[in-house]
Amino acid sequence: MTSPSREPRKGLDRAVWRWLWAAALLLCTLLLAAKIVPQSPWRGAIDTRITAMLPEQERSPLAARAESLDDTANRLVILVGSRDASAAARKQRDAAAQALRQALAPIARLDDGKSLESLRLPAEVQPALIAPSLAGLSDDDWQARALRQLIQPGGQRDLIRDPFGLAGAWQSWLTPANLSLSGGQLLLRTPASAGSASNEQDSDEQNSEEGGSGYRLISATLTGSAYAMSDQQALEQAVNGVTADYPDIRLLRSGLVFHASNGAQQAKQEMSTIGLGSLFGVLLLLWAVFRTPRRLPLLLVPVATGVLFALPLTWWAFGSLHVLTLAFGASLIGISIDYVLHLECMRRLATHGRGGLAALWPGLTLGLCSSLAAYLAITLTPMPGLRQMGMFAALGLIGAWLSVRLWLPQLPLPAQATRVDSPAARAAGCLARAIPGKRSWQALGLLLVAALASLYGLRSDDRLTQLNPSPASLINEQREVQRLLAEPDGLRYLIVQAETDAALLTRLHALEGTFQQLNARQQLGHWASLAQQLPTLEQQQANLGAMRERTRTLLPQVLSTAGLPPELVTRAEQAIADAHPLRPADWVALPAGEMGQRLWLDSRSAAIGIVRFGDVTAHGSAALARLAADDDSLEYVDQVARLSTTLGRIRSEMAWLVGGAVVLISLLLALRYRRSTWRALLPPLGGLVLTLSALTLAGVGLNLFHLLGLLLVLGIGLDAGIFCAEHPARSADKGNPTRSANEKAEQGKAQTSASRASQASLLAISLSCASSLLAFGLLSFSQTPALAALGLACLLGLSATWCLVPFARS
Amino acid sequence: MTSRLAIAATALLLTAGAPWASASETSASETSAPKSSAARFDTRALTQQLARTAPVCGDFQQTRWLEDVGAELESRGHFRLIGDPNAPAGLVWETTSPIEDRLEMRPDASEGPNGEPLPADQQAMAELLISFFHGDWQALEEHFSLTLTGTPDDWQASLTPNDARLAEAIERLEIDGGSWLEHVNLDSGDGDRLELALTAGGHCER
Repeated sequence: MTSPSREPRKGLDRAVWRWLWAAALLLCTLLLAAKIVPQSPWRGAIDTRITAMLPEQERSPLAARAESLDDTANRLVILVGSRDASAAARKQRDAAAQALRQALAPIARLDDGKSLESLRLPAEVQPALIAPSLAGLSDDDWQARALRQLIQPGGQRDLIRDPFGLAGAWQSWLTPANLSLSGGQLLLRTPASAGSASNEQDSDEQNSEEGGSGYRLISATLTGSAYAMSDQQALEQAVNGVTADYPDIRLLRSGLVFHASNGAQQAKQEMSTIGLGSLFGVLLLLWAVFRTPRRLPLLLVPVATGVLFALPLTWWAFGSLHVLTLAFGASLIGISIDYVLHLECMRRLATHGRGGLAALWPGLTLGLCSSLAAYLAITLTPMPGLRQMGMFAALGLIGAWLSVRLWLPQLPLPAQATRVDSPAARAAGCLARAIPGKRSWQALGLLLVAALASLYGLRSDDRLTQLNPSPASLINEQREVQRLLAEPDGLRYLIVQAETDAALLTRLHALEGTFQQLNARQQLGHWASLAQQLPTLEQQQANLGAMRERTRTLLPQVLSTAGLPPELVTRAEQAIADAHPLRPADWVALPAGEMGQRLWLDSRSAAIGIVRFGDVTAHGSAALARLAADDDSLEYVDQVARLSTTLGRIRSEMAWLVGGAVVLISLLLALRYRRSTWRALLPPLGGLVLTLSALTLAGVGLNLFHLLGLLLVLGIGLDAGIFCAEHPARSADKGNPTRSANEKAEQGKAQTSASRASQASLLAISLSCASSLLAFGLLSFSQTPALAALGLACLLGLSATWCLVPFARS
Repeated sequence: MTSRLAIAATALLLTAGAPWASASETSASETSAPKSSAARFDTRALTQQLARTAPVCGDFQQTRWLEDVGAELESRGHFRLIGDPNAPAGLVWETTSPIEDRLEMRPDASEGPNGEPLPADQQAMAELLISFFHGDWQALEEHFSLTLTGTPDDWQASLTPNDARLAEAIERLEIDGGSWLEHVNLDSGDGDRLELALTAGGHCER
């Protein structure tokens, strides 16, 4: 029933701007399509790696390469254990493992499905590689070994090129001592103590009867994507099918896919509880106040256009988009619902749909500018992730503001919406009655002082473990698997540089002693190094010499004892004459050398090895860092610490920048509001202080996600404060509302409309706080720690802000 | 995270004759029907018969043909089942000539003379042998196509690997016997052969 005024419009009210904005959005849609449509040449990626959020200079180039080798997102290991050591339980376990292998076969590539011949070492390098278990053998022992190899069933068969059976021993040495093959499947025995893998001497006691309580090992590579929902589901179904058929077995799962799948399920579940709950709550609230259900979708148009505007521009500006940008950026754009609410309340309560919105625009524009200042401040950080998020949120707010400014006033309001006794008007009247008295002011003063004082104890907590969304049981399973397999987790590693291959291997072998010491002190659980796979080149040369000698001196006796023709010695000598050492570069290029690929960096100018660690304690990590600090050829990388440090840096830089922005905003506001500036600043800053104080008193360390939540509180609080300053409560509101109705007649029309505008803005502020509380505050019940932190900050901050509004407008 | 494991897994299966290597993709092969024999003599019957009559120990004579060097290698000695003959825990393989050597083969872990574990390929062979002695033919049928001919007193079985990878190592396996297993002939893909002749020691028969 709005009658758009017939007089010629000026400024932004002209139709041409509306069409321009529509055209801009159309262009954005096209840009977005170019990024999303699979056939598009400009197709963009969505990044999910948390490391992609970090600035480049945080990692050395070598570390970046070392980490790119560790791309194991699709790897998975499942251990199948029996309930007890009884034969029946073991049989169950084996059958379950077999069933699981069959269930996995369509969706994953099992590791033991490779060709056999491709994995043998070339015969010409085998003589250089003598397993340490053979090191102490006497000549008689070597002869006996050669003979045994000949007569034992299944013994080594290449009499010419490996008469002493080096291959079998070497292979045993490379295989973890607690891993063996039986009944066609891999059996992993639980080691008595977690020590260095690949050493065969201590396996004696484990080989006895207790072997029953071991695990069947299934390791595989997922053929699909660990992040794809369908592949995750296929895997879950395969695993669940087996556990349903064999309820008595015990499964230990390890691999990113299980965590990703768990996270996705958790997100899905929370989406349907928290997400739907808050959406339903917001809609119910808006319906209760406005009673115009058909207009509800309109309220979301600005948010939607904001995202539509920001998404393609950010995507094109940055090349790829990070998933966190999307998640948090979209939440920040959610602030723009404020603009809609203010407009809607103003039109319904103050102007009764008859234009006259001029009084609204300054506040709305100022609200936009202040939020923009806060978000643009984040784009000054060197963190690409935050820059992206800041730009996304800023553009989104601009887009939403434009939609509110240009489009929404043109839409007609239904007649009953503007009635004086509409539910909205009554709600506004009700809210306006809350006027703080003197006591309340005193209490508030005390509270704020106490809160400020308590901030002295504010501390931060940037530990990554705090943010791990996986349930403890899954984390423990993963840890147990890594412990049993002595598998490094890849998060801590040492880069070792040397001039030549030979020097590198020597250095790596020298370092083994240090690691063993750390292991003995229980500061280091296990590690992987090329030194565990290759002897030094000097040792290899020595081995070659020794094996040539043995072939010449010991083999004739072996052949004669076995009754074989003596001229075979000549052939064996010819074969070993061509033998040569195995260099790291050649080793990792072999199919069997796949295990070395993560431990070696190809480089023209130097030889570079990587030692990867698992189960490192804080002391161990410090010792390794000290080791590397004194030595230019070593670089120790602790990805966990590095990420924590980076998150901490992001957090503190963001805090400073936002603090600076707040000062700037305060100056800006002071220009307009002069002595009333405190009205604009009380809700946002008071909200921040009270939240920080509550977190401090509760003993919660501040992390990045709390801060992101506070950024949201700041945005909403600023909007609230600005409207408090724009439309403070008049004396007319302070008394009895019935009297105020009488007074309306007496007082001038201008004051009446000002009072109505004040009520309208109060209603809008309250709705904005309440809906944001529903939307973000409920996240504090999330199981995902990052979201819960954000939610908690919003819950506390928005509640505090709302409570401060009556003070700010009185 | 686990490429080392991948290799360990494959390395273990990289064996001269890992009969179980194909475990991942086995489809139970259909039992070859016995040839025209009046009494139904199949693998189940053979398993039962061997369980009844198989000795707990005996002598063996082994002949290895090494294709590469064109020579034959002979050895002999004793063997003995460990534990319950119907569900043996393992097999002791004791060579007396040309050298003395003792192997304890177990399904989970075998041991050489000094208690050291066996390389994977020997372990696989050990399991195959235990499986023969024990007579667990149904397990064997998962990995081999089995043709059984003859009568309970004089039977022959021929085993061909189902799986290409297994066939890399074992081209063909032939065994025969009467009241118990008498001969095992194993042809490798590379031309090597292993022949075992087993005789019951008098003191061992049940």
